[in-house]
Amino acid sequence: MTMKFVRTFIAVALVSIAFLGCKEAEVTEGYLRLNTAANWDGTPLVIGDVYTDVMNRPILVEQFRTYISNVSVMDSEGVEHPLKGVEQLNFNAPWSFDFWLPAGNYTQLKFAIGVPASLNTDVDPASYPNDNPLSIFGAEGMFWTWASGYIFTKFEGKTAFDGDATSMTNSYAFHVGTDQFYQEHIFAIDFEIGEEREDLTIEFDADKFLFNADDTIDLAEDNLTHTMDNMPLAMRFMELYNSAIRVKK
Amino acid sequence: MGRYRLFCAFLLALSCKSDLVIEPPTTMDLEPYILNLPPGFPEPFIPADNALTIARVELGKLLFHDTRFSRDNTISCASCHLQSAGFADNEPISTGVEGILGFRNATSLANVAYQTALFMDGGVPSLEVQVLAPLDDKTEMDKSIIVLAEELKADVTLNAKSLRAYGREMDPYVITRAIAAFERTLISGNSPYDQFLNGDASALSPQQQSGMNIFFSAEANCSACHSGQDLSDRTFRNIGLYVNYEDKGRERVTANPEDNGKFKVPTLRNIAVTAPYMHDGSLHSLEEVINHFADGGMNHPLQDPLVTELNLTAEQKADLLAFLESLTDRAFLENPAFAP
Repeated sequence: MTMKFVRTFIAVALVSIAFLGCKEAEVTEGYLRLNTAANWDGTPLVIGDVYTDVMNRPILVEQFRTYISNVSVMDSEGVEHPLKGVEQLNFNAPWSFDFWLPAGNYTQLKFAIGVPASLNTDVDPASYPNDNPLSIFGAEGMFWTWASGYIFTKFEGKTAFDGDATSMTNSYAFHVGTDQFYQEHIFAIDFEIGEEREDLTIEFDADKFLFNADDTIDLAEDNLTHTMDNMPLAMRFMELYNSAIRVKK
Repeated sequence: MGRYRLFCAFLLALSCKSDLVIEPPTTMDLEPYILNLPPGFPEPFIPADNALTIARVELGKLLFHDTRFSRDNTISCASCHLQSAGFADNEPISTGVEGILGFRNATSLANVAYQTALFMDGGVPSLEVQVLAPLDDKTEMDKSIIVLAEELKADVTLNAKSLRAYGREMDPYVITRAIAAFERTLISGNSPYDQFLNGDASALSPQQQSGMNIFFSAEANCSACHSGQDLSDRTFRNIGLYVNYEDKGRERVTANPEDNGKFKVPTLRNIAVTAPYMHDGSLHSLEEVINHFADGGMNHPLQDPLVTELNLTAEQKADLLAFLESLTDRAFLENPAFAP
C-alpha cells in the first residue's frame, strides 16, 4: 500500500515537472535581425568600386552614408514596438542589429531617413558620448559645422563627364539635410517572431539615386548640393533616394 | 535565454565596475570667474554645462593661442582674431593652412558672449558649437577635432588642466567648452564713448560729439541698425554693397532667396582697428565705409530701405569718422588677461 502510494506520488510528480517544464519552454519572445544593404543594379554596392550610370558614365562611389531613426515594428494587434532611436548607416560596413520582441505576428516596419527635428535644432555634437551616432565620433563628418545641423544622407564620389572610365576627375556630392528632408517610411510586411530568427533587410538601390521613371540626374549638369546652396537639386535627389528604398524578408 | 541574459548582466556589471576602476582621479577647480562687466552691461547667457570658472577660462586662453589646432601647426584661433585688432584681423580675407585664403573677413570677438547667432550668416547657435567650424574648414585650420583631442590629451600639462577645469580628459567636449569660456570673457565697454555715456563729458572731443549727434540723428540714422550696447541690433541686412553678391550671405544657411546678400550687422566696438571692412574686406577704410552709406548703396533688389543716399558734407563725414574712432577701447586691446 505504502509502496504503491510512493510510486503513484513519484509518477504524478514527474508528470507535473514535465508539464511545468513544457510550459516554461513555450516561446514567448524571439528576435528580429534587421539588416541593411545597398545595391547597384541588383548586385551588392561596394564602396570604392566603379559602376555605370543610366547615361553610360562611370560612377566611382566613395561614400554612401545615411541617418536612420525612429525604427519600429507593429504587431498584428496594432501595438508599436520601438527598436532604435537614431543610427548612422555607413555602407563601408553594412549595419545589422538584433532586437528582442514578443512572439507573434507582425505587420509593419517603420523608420525615417534623417535626424528628428528635436535632435537637429541647436545641436552640439560634442555634448554626446562618443558611442552616440550624433556625437563628433559617431557623426564622422555627417554634421555641418557652419550651419549647425546633421547631414541626413551623403552620397559622393567621382565620375567622368566624357564617359572615359580611365580618367574620372569630375566629382559629384549630394549632402542633404535640414528638417524638411526628414522622411518617414512605412512598409507593410508580414513576419512572425517566434522560435526561429526573423530577418528583414532595408535595401537601398543606389543606381536609382540618380534616375527613375520620373527624373534623371545628369551628373554633367547637376553634381553638387550641400542642400542650402542648391535646394532644387537636393529636392530632386531626395525624391529619387526615398523612392529607392525597400524592405524585404 | 535566461542564462544568456544573466551572463550579459554579469558582463555589464563587470564592465561598469571596470569603468569605475579606470576612471582617472579628478579634482575639479570650481572657483568661479567673475566677469568684469562695464556699467549697464547685463550678465550674458552662460550655458549650464559651461559655467565660467578661472580654470576653464585659463585653459580656454591656452587653447585659443595653440597652433596645434591647424593641420600644419601654423594657425591658432588668435591668428585671425588678434587682440590688437579687436580680436578680428586686418586682412580682407584671413589666411588658413598652407596660405590658403578663407571665405570671409574675420569678425571681431568683442562682446561675442552676447551673440546668439554666430558668423556673419548666423548659422551657428552657440560659441561651443562655433569652435568646430574653423577646425573643420579646409581653408582655415583643416584639423580633425578628434585628432586634435588625442594630441592635446598626450600633452600631460594640458591634460591635467583639462581634468582640473572639467573633470575629464581632453576631448572635443572640453576643447569646445574651454574656448567658448575664454571667448565669453572678451568684454569690451570702456571706450571714450562709454566713458562719455558714464558721465565723463571730456571723454569725447567736440568733433567726436558732433559725429555722435550725426550718428544718432534721424537724417543719417546709422543707429537704426547700429544700436544698443554693441552698436549692433544683430539683424541680417543687405546693405547694397553689390548688385550681384558672389557670397549669398544668410541665404547660404536659410536657402531663402529673400536672404540673398544679407549679413549680420557688425558691432562697431573697436571698429577703427579692424580694417578692412565688409564681409569680403572690400572696403579698405572707414572713410570708404562712410562714403558707401552716404552714396546710398548699389541698389540691390533686396537692399535694406534704410540704406539711402545721405547728404553729408565732408565735415560731417569727418565728424562721423572721429566718432567711430572714439569706440576704440584701449584697455580691451591691451588687457594682459587676454594675451598668451
